[in-house]
Amino acid sequence: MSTIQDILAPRLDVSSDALLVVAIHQPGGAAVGAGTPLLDLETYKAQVVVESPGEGFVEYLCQVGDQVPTGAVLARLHPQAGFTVEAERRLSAEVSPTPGVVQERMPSPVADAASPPVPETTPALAPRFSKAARQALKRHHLDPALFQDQDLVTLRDVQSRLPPPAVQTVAPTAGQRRVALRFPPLPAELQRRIDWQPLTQAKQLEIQALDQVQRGGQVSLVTTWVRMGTLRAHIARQSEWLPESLLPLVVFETARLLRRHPCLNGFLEGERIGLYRDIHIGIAVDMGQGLKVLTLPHADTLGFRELEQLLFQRIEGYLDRTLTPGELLGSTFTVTDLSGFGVGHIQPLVNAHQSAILGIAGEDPDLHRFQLSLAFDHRVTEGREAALFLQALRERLEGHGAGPETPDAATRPVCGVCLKTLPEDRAMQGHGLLQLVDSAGRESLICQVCLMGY
Amino acid sequence: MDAAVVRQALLIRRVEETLLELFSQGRLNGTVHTCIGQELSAVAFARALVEQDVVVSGHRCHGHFLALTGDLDGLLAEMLGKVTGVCGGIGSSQHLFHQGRFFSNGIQGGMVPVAAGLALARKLRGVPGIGVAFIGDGTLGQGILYETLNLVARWRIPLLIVCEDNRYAQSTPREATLAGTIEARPAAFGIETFVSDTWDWPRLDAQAARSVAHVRATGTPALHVVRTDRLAPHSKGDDTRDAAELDAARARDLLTAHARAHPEQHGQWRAAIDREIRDLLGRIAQEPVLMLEEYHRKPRVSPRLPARRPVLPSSERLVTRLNRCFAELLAEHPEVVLLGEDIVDPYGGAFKVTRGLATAHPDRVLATPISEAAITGLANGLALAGMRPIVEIMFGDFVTLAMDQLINHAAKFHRMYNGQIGCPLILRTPMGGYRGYGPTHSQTLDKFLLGIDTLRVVALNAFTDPAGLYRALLAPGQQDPAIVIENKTLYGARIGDFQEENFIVEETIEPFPLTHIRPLHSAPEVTLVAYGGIASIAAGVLGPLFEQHDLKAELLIPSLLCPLDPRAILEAVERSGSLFVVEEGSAFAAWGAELIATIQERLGRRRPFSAHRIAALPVPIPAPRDLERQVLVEARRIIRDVVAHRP
Repeated sequence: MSTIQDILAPRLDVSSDALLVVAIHQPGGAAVGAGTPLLDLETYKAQVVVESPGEGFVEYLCQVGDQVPTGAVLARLHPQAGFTVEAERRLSAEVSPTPGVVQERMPSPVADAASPPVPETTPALAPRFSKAARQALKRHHLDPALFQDQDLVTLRDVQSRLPPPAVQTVAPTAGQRRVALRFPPLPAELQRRIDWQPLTQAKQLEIQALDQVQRGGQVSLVTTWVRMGTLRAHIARQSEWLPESLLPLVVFETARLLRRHPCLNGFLEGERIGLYRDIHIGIAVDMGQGLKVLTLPHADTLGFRELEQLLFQRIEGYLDRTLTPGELLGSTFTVTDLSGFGVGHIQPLVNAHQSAILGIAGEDPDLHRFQLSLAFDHRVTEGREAALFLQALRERLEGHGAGPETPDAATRPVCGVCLKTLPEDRAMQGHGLLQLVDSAGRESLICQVCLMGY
Repeated sequence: MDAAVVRQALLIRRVEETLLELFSQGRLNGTVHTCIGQELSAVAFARALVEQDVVVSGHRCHGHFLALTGDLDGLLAEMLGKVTGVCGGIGSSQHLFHQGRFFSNGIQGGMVPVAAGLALARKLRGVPGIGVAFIGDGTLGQGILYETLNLVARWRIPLLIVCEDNRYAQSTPREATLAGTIEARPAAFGIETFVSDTWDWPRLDAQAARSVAHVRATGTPALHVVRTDRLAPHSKGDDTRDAAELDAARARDLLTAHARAHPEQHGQWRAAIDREIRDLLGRIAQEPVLMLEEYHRKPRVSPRLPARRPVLPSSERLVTRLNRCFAELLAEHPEVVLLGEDIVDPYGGAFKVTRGLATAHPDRVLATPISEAAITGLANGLALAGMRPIVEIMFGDFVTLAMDQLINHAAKFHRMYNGQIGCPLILRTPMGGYRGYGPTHSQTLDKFLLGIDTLRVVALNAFTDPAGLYRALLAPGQQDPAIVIENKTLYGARIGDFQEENFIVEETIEPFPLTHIRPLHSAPEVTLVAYGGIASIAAGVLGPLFEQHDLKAELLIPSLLCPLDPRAILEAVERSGSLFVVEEGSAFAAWGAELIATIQERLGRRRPFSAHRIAALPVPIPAPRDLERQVLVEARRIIRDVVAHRP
C-alpha cells in the first residue's frame, strides 16, 4: 500500500446525517489488517462497526463521543508507521477516499443519552405514501424504506425527515471533523406517543416577553433569607384585606426601596438603558386562570392599607375576569409570589422592558424563614446593587417581625403609613413616631422612614 | 238509583266543585276540566268492569278515575302537586295513572289506540280483560280515532269506546263541526253501537253492562254513545252557552233531582263527603312537593372511555343480519311483536327486513293498515302492558304521521306517571335518499326526532352489528321509547366492509358502540363524524383525502345519537383541532349543530378548534339521479369541503 486511505463516515440511511462515535477499538498508529474493527458508530436507528478496508497503520481523526457527519473522515490508513500530521495534510488532496466497511449489529442494550432507544421490532408495516409525499421523495432522492415504521406518510412527514438548511450547507470535506449538527429527531415510536398541545396565544406572548431579557443570557440571581419572627402576627394585626399573605408587605417595602435602586426599575434597549421615573409594581399571579401580571401603579406612593386594598381589588378582578388592559399593562418591576406552594427557592424570569424581578418563596417550616430571590439583568445593573437592595428589603421585613407576638398597650401608636409599631420602630433603630397634621387638619403619626425615605 | 251510585256520583261532583274552589283560591296550579253533570256515565261503566280491565281517558278524567279506582286521596294530592299524588304531582289533572289499570292523557283521541294496544296485549297473552276508552263528542274530529276504529274492528280487539256526548267541543256546539251522526261512524266499521244517557239511570246502567259484556263475550270492539250534559264550563269561566239551555240541563240532572227529592239524606251524604274531602285536604296540605333532584338528575357519565375492539368485516348483508336478528328475537322473547305496513309474507316488508317472519310467528308479526299514528299508538299500549313492540314505519318520511304518539304519548308516559310504568316502544324506519324516490320518500328527518326529550335515537350504520343494537334496546329495564333510524342504502351493505390500507376500524365495547376508523399509528389531522348511511360515503373519502390531498383523517361513527355521548368525539377533536360533521339531512338545527355546540361547550376554552357541517342542501330532494346526488352529500363534496377548510 503506497497511498494514504481516508476512512469516511458511511451513510447508513438517508435520515442519519449525524453519527455518534461510541467506541474506538485500536490504539492510534496501530497496525491493522483488512477487516480489523476500527471503531463503532451509532445512528439513532442502529449501531455499526467500521472495519479497516485494508492493511496499514491507523490514525484516528475522531474521539469517542464525537458527533460526525456522514462523509467526514473518521480515520486514515497510512502505508507506514510513524506518519506525521504534516504529511497527511500535504497529501490530503491526493487521497482516494474509501468508505469504511460496515458491519451492522444490534444496538447496544445500554443506549447513550444522545441516541434514544431503538424501538423493539414490530411487524413490518408497508408505509402508504400520499401523492405529494411520493413526489417529495423523488425530489429529495429519499429512500422510501426510511419510513418503514409509518402507516401513512404525507408531505409533512417527508419534510420532517429532511435535514434543516443549516446542516445541508455544511459540506463534509476531508479533514473537517466537527460541524454544526442537528439533534437527532425523536424516534418514530416515541413521536406516536405524543399528544400535541398548541401553544396558547397567552403562552406565546409570555415566551416573547420573557425571551426578550433572558435571551441576552446575562440574567443573574441573588437570594437572601428573611427570618419570620412575628411577621405573620404583624400582618394579621395590620391587614384588612389579605391577613394571611406576605405579599402586600413585601410589595409595600419593595416599592419604596426601589426609589433608591433605579437600575432595578429600568431596562436595556439596544445600547442604552432606560430608567423609569415611576414605580409601577407588577404582581405575577396564576390562580388557575392563566398567568397574568396585575399592575399596581405608583405603588411607592401608597400607604400599606391602600396598597393592600388595591392588590385585593386586582386579584378579585383577575378571578372575575373583569380586569381591563390598563390593570395588566405598564409595570416597571415584577414580584412573583409562590410562597403559597411551599417552594423553597425560585429563579424568576425577568419580564420584557424590565431589569429585575423579585420572587417570594415559601416559609421553611423548621427554620421559620423564607427566601427572597432577585433575578436581574446584568447588562443593566450588577450584583452589588441587587445585593444591597435585597439586604435592605430583608431588614425592613424583619423589622416588621421584630415586635411582640400579641399587641399590648405599648404597640398602640403606629405609623399611619407603614403601620409600624413603636417596638418595631425601635427594632429598626428608628427614632420614634412624629405627630403629623395634614392639610385637612387630620392628625396621625408617621415614622421617620415614611416621612423622609430610607 | 241505589245509595252507592248516588254517593259515588255525588263524591265526584263535590270533589270537582272543591277543585274549582281551590282553583279560584289560587291553591291549584294549572287547569281543571270537570265532568259535573256527567258523573253517572263514569259510575255506570266502572260498575260493569272487572280487575283485569283497563281504562283510558282524556282531559276530563277525574270522574272516570274516581269511579274506577276510588283513590280520592291520591287524586287530591295529585291535584295539589304533592309527592303523594298518584303521579307524584307531575301529571296533575289531565295525566293520571293508577296501578296499570287507569291511564289518562291530555291529547284528544291519542289514548284510543293506546287503549287498543292495552287490550290487544291481553288478547295476545290470552288473559281476560277488555279495554275501555272514554272520549267526548269533540274527539270525533280526530283522524286517529277512525284509524283505530278500523284497526280494532279488523283485528277484533276487545275495546269499548265510550263517547260522552255533551254536545260541545269546548265552546263550539257539536252541530257546527260534526257531519252525519255519531252512530253512523262505528256502523261504517261494522262496530256494534250502544246508546244511552245520564238522565235515565236504569237504562244507562243496563246498557253499560250490556256493552261491556258484549265486548268481553265477543272479543270485538263496541262504541257506546252516552248523551249527557256538562253543567260546568269546559275548563273555567269559558262558558258561552245559553242560560236557558243550562237551566234545562240542570233540571234533568239526576243528582239535582235527588237533592230535591231526598233533601235530608242528600244533605247528610253531602256533608259526610265534604268532611272527608276537607280532612284529606288538611292532611295533604302538609305533604311535600317533588324536589327537582327526585325528578331530574343529570346523568353521570364516567370520564373513562370504554375499551375498544377491532371491527372484523362480515360477509353478511345488513338486511340479512336484521332479518336473522328479528327471527332470533321473536323466538327468544314471547313479548316481542312486530307491527308495520306490508311486513308479512310473501311481501316481507318494503325492504324485505321481515321476510319469512310472519310465516314463523303469524300472531306476533302483524301487517297493519296504512295508519302510522294508530299503529304507533297501538304499540304504545302494548309497551305499557309489558310487551316489546317493534313498529316498522315503511319510509322515514311517514314518521311525521306518528309524531303525536311519539312526542305526547311514548316519550311522556314514564316520566309523567312518575316512573310507575315504562313505555319501551321501539320504532324503526329507513330514512335517506340516493334512490331517486323524490321529495317525500328520500328524506332524512332525524332532526325532528332528536329534540324529543327522553326519546332515544339510534342510527344503524354499515360498521356496527345491528343485532347488538336491537338487543341493547330490548334489554330488560328499558323505560323510554327508542327510534332506530335505518337507511335504505344500508340494507344491501356488508357489515364492517372497509378496505383502506394502513387504516384500522375499531368500535367501543358498549351497548351502542361508536365506530372509529383511523390511521393505524399516525395522529389524525382532521376528525370527521358521520352517522347512519352516509357514514359509508364518509368512510370512502379517507383514502382519497390521504392519497390525493395529503391529509390524514379519521372518522367517528356513533350509533347512539340521542342522548349524545360526546366523549370519544371530544377526545378526537381535542387532538386534531378540526371537526367536520357529515350529515345526510340538511344542516340547520340538526344533529351536527347539536354536536358542535356540545363539543364547543366542553372543549372551547381549553382547545380552539374549527368546525364545519357538510350536509344536504335545504331544498326538497329532487328525483333525477345527478341532481339528487348534488343536493344530498356526495364524496366529492366532502373532500372539497374538508380540503377547503383543512387546518
